[in-house]
Amino acid sequence: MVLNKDGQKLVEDSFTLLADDDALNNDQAQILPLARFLDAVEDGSLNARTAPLGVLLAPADDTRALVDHLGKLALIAIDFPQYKDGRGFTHARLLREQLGWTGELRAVGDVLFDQLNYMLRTGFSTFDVRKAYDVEHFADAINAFTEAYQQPGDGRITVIEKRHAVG
Amino acid sequence: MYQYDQFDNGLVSERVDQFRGQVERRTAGNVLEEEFRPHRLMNGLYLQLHAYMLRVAVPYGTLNGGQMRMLADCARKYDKGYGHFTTRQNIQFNWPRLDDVSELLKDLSEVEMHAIQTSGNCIRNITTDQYAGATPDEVEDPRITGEVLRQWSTFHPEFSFLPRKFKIAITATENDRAAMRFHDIGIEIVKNDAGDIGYAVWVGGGQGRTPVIAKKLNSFVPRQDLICYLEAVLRTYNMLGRRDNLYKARIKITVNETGVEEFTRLVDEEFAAVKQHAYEQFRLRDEEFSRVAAFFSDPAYESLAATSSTFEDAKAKDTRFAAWAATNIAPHKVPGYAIANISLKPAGGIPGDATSEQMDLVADLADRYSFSDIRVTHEQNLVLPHVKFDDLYALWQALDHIDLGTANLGLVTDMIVCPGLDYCNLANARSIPVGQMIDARFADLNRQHDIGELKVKISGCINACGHHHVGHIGILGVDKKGTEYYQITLGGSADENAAVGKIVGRAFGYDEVADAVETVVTTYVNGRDSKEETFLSYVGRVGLGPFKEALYGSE
Repeated sequence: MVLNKDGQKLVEDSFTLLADDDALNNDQAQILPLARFLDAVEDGSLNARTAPLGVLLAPADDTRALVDHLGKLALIAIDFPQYKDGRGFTHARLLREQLGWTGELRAVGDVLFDQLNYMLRTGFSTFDVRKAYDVEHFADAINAFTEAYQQPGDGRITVIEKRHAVG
Repeated sequence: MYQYDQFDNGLVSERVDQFRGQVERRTAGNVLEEEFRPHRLMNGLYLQLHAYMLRVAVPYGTLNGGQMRMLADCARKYDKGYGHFTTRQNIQFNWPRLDDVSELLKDLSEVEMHAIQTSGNCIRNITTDQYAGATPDEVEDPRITGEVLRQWSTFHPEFSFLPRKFKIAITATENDRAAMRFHDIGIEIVKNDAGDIGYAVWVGGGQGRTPVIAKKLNSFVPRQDLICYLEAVLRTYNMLGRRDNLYKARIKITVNETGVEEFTRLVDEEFAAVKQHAYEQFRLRDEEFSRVAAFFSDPAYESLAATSSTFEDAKAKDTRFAAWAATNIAPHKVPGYAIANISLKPAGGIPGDATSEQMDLVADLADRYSFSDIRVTHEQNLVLPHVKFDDLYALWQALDHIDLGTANLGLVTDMIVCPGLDYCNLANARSIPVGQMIDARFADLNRQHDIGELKVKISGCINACGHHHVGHIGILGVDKKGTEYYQITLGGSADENAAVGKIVGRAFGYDEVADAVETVVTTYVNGRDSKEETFLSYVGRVGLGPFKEALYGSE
């Protein structure tokens, strides 16, 4: 189930993740793995696209490969095939901080309850949450910490800034 | 020392609540042990051979009296009346019950302590020189940078699921007491020709099964750029570090496999990108550095003569005190003061262990004699950093009364010994009993003083928690078909002359280790030019030959 930052179910989510042997359909909201997306850009098969398009970054992908293509995208999904693999957090920060992506950033895969807070802070905006328990207690996870020392991606005012705020 | 403000306090108490929730979910059966594991590990809670073990962070090894008393209380209340100070300047409780851990963490939070990032593949507790703020030879107090980086690394959302654990050490002197070159990142505080203070950054050091001395990646990172630079190193490692093989996942392997030049280029590129896009967020602000620095300003030292007749008289009349003064005190930057080392290696004891009574006494003595300032050393001893020469004898008498006055700092019985097979589920061999046999063999303190500085370090498996690679004499326990054997290395060193010890020859049986160490020591003592030639210099001069000859003869 895909939730937004407030723990609300996305009602209008119609994206499907394209598996390797699924056909590209320019009239359906689809999420393409990065390599397939880059191929499709190359060979022009996205030219007639009418439906929203998303791309899926795997841990080993190069985030900066998207730098010239952000305008074509409605969504970037980042895969966490195993919770231990934290490369998705770096993808998220690079997209928000360096590539200037302001659209939807979705976490998918093996997401630990306590990682939700870190995901929010690195700039994720939607979460593919699998376990019913986690859906029910989503707000606890996302709001575990009121303050943060660092300022990676969610635009919050950090502890350091609050300490030295003028006035 | 640093004092929490409302923000620091808020984060730590929210963490206590979060952990309580995790334990409740686990206990209620909503979460399996397999899922609970990463959560408890992020809170320093390990499952060992016999019980849970909780590792509590002592940031940059600094405690005040109140904190030490709380540790003593926790040991009494939740453990068996003792704690174990570690080579990461932390303290471990070996017997807490899972049900008690939330309460223990809550008690700790009342004295601004926690178990955050004492395990897991994140940035671990940051360590530094135990003489920080007191030693005459430092550029500045490294604990200021330590605290700034503690905050930066706490719950770092990008770097909490790295390929492997990540250890940072800071030193501000040329005499490296923090083993900086054996950390994932070693930070050396330096002053450049223009008189500005900045940071030389060393990367990719470590022990474990592949000991590597760190390489200097950047010889001067300006202060305001430190966090940007560290973000660049960590990000490069996070993306490049191997996740397919646990034993090749540390940054030392990443640097070696990528090549130091290429790794440096990648870091520099990322550093430039961070500065271009996010400099404002990650610039180390002067006002924040100054705010933190104010907590580490000098205590109210008295104006004293450089010499103390009380001290000299006591040495003259009490030879045991004179022996302690010869090894356990170090020069202080202020006349009339000394740095006093408390050995946690009493004869027959377990290195690094302290009872609640001992912790309480150290807290009282710190309050009375050392501005309530206590340090934990990576060699598993304690330090009272600011003691008047006039007070040293009274201090030592009080310590001696409770078995804390051993005059063996830096000597053969001041060993680092990992918990080994007695506690640890990774170990292949016992460590503590081997240490105790060596300890008994060299029980004669006069002989220890005659031998001079000699660092013996024992690990019960190749993970090297006992730092055997950097022992002047290193001992590694291995398992050969169900029997414990011990490999001996010579010439290792963790200081500014960092070196990895060399294996002297075939391994020794459990009962042969003490004899072998004795033979090594005798070879040195008989062969040295004079007492001025230390064990390490001797090994440097003669190599392994004479030791091989003495240990193995013509076999």
